[in-house]
Amino acid sequence: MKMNLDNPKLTAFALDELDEPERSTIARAVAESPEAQRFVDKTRNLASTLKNEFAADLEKETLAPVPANLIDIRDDPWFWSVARPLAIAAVLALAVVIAGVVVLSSKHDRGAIAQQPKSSASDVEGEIELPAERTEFIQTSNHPGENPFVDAKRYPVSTFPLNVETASYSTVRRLINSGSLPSKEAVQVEELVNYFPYDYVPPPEDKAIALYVDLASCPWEPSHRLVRIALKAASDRPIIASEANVQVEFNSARVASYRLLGHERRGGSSDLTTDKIESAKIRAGQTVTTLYEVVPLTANERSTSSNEMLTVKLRFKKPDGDKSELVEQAVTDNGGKFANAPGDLKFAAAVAEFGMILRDSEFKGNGKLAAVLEWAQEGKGSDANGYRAGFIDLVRKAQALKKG
Amino acid sequence: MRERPHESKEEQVHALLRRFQIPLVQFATRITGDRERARDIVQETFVKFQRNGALPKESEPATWLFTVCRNGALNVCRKERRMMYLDEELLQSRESKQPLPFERIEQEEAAGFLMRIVATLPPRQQEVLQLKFQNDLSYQQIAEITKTTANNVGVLIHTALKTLRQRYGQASKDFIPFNPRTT
Repeated sequence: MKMNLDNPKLTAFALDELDEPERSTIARAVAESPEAQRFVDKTRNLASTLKNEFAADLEKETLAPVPANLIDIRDDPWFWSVARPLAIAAVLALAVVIAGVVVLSSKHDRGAIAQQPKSSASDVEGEIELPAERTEFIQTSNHPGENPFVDAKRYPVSTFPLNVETASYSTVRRLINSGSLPSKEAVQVEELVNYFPYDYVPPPEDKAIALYVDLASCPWEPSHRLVRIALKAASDRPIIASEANVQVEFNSARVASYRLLGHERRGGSSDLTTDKIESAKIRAGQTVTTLYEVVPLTANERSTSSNEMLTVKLRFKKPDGDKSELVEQAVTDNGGKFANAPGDLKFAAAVAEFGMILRDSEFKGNGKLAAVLEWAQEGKGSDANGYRAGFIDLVRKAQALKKG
Repeated sequence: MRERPHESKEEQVHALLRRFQIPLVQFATRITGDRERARDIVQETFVKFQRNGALPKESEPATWLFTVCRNGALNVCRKERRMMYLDEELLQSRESKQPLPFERIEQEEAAGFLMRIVATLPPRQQEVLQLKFQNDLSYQQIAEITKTTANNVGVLIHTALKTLRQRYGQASKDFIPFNPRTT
């Protein structure tokens, strides 16, 4: 006898959720239908797998031990009536304030950045020349494997790869979850930073790629500035931009030196010493996030009254055109503090500093994992997919491992 | 987990904490999307449990804990206005996570595979799956906690299992038996 298998009663029967006499009725029907028997068996197998997996999920969870104070203070009537509600109210109020600030500052941020896309063939040719002796300078770094600070006067132009892997984060997570801290080599700062989605607004309809730049004081070295450069390609149109490259021109009248965070994988800094600019393809929906730490000139040292700190130039060719397009953005430094920075910048800074601490980088500054946690929490935002909560968890675990 | 007469309230709370703290945190995390808040909510739940002289008659500790924890989680969402859903209807319509791209699933160890697919279900279905398969609650208890009928719980679980079967089959391409131990 054929039986409708798409029936919640049948599932309930398989899970032993039916009462008599319904159970007996369904049992008889199932006995007569091989199909229904298979369905019941499959459902029970799936249920048993789910039970195992949910149980395994519990074991992955690490929680602070049962709070002892729950028991100890229970008889104190003042605590129940006053302290706890107050504390909860304070935490909630703080959360609302932080959320408000993040929203406000990110709005402000987007409004303040003037994007000046241009399309011009003449812009593209032979405009930028990298100094030839760059190699020699950079190799004087006494910390092989890490990009050093680069003198902005001698080397005003920097570039960075547009295609970034994210595998290092999975490796770091796996190692920490299994109870060991990763080796230096396993930690690629830029891969960690780019593992996370950020709230970049897609480019307007008539543009293929949007460029976002923001900056604030550098949280692990407050006298420095932290610059975030982000690029987002449109995702709903067929976009494979080719021959894309980016150049960051630092204004040496404002900037003493700068350092590209991460990108150390390919044998130290030697890659950045070539004056060949890497061209890459950019796929639909692609995003890239890059951080620079900038040492500004002091007020006395400055040879300009302009606040312009750097200009980002992104060049690429659209699939249907042979003309190169240029998206350019000049960035002024208005002295913004990290505390008021957009959430995404805070979070990216937290991830970068986490990487530098794990690498025991010469450039990690005064940041500690506790500070990383703080910045990550401040920058967590709505975290729709839970990635950031996972990061916060991971930092806690790393903290425990470091202490242990 | 019925209250045993020789157990003091304190012993009972500790036993319940050991057994339900983590399931409750995971449960509240599903609702709030925020593990830190979830921990606070669970701690609050136990504080309330302790302050209550006795549970209402016929009430199981598990049902009570999950109900109070769920209310707490929904309250936090309402107060903080962080989440999309401000009421029960919205909880039902809340968007679930997008299915993960296959390469990302591949990276994860096979053990967590099915849970990854669970995370793509609507929250309402995830919630009843967790209560059913992690905490071994009956349709009736789940109905009490989630303020619906046992019938509706049955529909949610049936639909969830059906989707899991489909997505599991799709993602693994070749058929992999649901329970490796039966092979």
